[in-house]
Amino acid sequence: MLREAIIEIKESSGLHARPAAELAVLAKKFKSSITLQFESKEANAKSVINLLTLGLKKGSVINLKVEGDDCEDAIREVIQFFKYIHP
Amino acid sequence: MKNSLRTHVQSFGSKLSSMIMPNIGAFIAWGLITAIFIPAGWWPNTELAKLVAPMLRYLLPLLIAYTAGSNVAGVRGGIMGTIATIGVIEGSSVPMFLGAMVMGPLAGYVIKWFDRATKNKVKSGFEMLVNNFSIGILGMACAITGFLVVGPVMLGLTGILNSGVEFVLNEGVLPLVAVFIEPGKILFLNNAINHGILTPLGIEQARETGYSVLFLLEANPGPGLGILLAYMLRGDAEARKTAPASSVILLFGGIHEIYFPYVLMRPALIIAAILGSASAMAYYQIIGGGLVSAASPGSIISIMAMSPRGMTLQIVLGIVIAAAVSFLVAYPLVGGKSRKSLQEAEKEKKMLKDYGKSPCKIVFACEAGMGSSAMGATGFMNRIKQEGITVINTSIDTIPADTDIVVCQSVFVDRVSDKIPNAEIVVIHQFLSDPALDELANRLSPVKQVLTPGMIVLGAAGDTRKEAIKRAGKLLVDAGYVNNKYVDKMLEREQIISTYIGMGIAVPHGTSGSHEYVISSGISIIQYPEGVDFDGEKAYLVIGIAGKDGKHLDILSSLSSILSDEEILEKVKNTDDKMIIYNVLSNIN
Repeated sequence: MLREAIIEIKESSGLHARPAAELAVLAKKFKSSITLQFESKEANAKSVINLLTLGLKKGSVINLKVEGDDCEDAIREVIQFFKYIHP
Repeated sequence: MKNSLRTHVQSFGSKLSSMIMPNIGAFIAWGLITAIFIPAGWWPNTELAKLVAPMLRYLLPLLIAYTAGSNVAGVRGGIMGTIATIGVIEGSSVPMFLGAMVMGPLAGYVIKWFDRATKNKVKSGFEMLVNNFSIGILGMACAITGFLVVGPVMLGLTGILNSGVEFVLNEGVLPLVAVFIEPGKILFLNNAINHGILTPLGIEQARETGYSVLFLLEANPGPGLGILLAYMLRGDAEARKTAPASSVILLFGGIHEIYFPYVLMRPALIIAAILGSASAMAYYQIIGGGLVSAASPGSIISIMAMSPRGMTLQIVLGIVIAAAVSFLVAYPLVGGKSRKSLQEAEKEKKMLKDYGKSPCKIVFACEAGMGSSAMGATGFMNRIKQEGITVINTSIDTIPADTDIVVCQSVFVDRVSDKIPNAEIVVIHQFLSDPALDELANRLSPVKQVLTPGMIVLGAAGDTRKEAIKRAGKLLVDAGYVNNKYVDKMLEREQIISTYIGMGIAVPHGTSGSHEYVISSGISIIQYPEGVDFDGEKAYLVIGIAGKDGKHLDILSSLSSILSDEEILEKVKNTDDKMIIYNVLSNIN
């Protein structure tokens, strides 16, 4: 099963190291593969270093792709995560 | 006062006072001759009193003109300034201090402009001819201009200034001047006020009336003395201990700067200084007192020496009045605990003093000071282009005493350190591109290169996670990228969630609230072949990161992009050559 979503980064300091680490922790809870696409780059959400290569800033719009059995739960929680990244 | 305005005023003021101050000795010689030999003097002598007029008309203005011109363009500027000023002097009927202060630097700029325009264009063998005739011809032109144009204009201007001074003196508003002078002193405009403005005006007045009260306005040590006395009786323990010695230095040595920190410690004390100074001015105005010439430094000794005959005690009484009034006002203000300690105030004083001064003077030196060093200086100046840093070139023998950094080739190092032992010496092999120059430029630059080879440490071992973070932080601190506090913030950040980002890399950095401790974006890289334990993960590369102005994210992103390439990462983890790491990561910015 595959679910996709488009997300805009609202947090003013962007996806820096701490939120990236938190996202990776969250992503690892799921069996599904979770991928973030930004411009020409793609990152595995379970790898902090991968997430950081995207250099996501406030206003960056990403394409979220979740593929696997638990994709419903995963996409919900990841969307939730981006809504409530704390600064 | 706004900082930039203060910088301008201070640097303009220091230009004015630097024309006068080296010549104060001549003012004193003239003052002594006047005080002793004129008919009203201590020991009247009509023969020796003949010295008074020509010294005032020629010697003092020409000395000022020479100094002013040489401040602009060295000895040649000084000579030009002097030639030009003789024109102004003869073109007007009164002594031309103002004229010297205008014409001296102006003529200096003329020859500086000429020398610059003809640089490297004179055929060899003709330098001396060109040098001598350029001053001869341009000097003649300046003297004529001075005689015909500037002299009469300055005469008018001097007249206007003098009538302004007379107005202030006659209308009884002199004490109000204290409102400007006292705060100005604390802002280190004391020399600018005294020697840039009051001394030239005062000499003008002294010529007419024999003495001038203007010499007493800034030089009176009374107001500062009153404040120090108040501290002696009621200040906290530290101030009580230091104030006696300070007051001796102030009263007899005439170094007014010594009481400034005591005022900065409790800024309300400026009122005491103003009222003390205003009272003395009112008193001097009532008795019609003054000094024959500049009293510099402003000590009781020089003030007594410059007092007209028969007025010494009255003049000294003015110091006593100023001290008494300032003491009475200061007394209730100095009790209790002060907001700032004396040391803090001292620091603030130093900051005020250094305001407007170039924080850094760099001299490129070579044997002649003209060829290679000139090329090096120009190249370096274009490269750093930064306010506050002066870059000049000189010969080894003429390196100025206030130089901070000397750049020279290794053969000259001994001569340079003999000549100027306190300066830092940067040794280079060639003047245009040299690694030592690169490091210097980066160190001086407010926007540094994010990574330099010096920020890479290879083959580290045995550190804990905390030690590794501190070490990465210390590298950033030592190279001037961040201040000490940032290291604490790095450790704090590590507590929230590990900065291990995978693939054997940890990127310790400060918390979100720590940008204020970052001076310039930079990274430090420590390679641990055995790894450091980061919460159960092994970090083989510990990379300290400090991002300025939102650069943090860019650095993180380009760093992780580059190191995501496993082949590159393996090289960086295992190499024993710093330059390999540097070359891989030097594009990060």
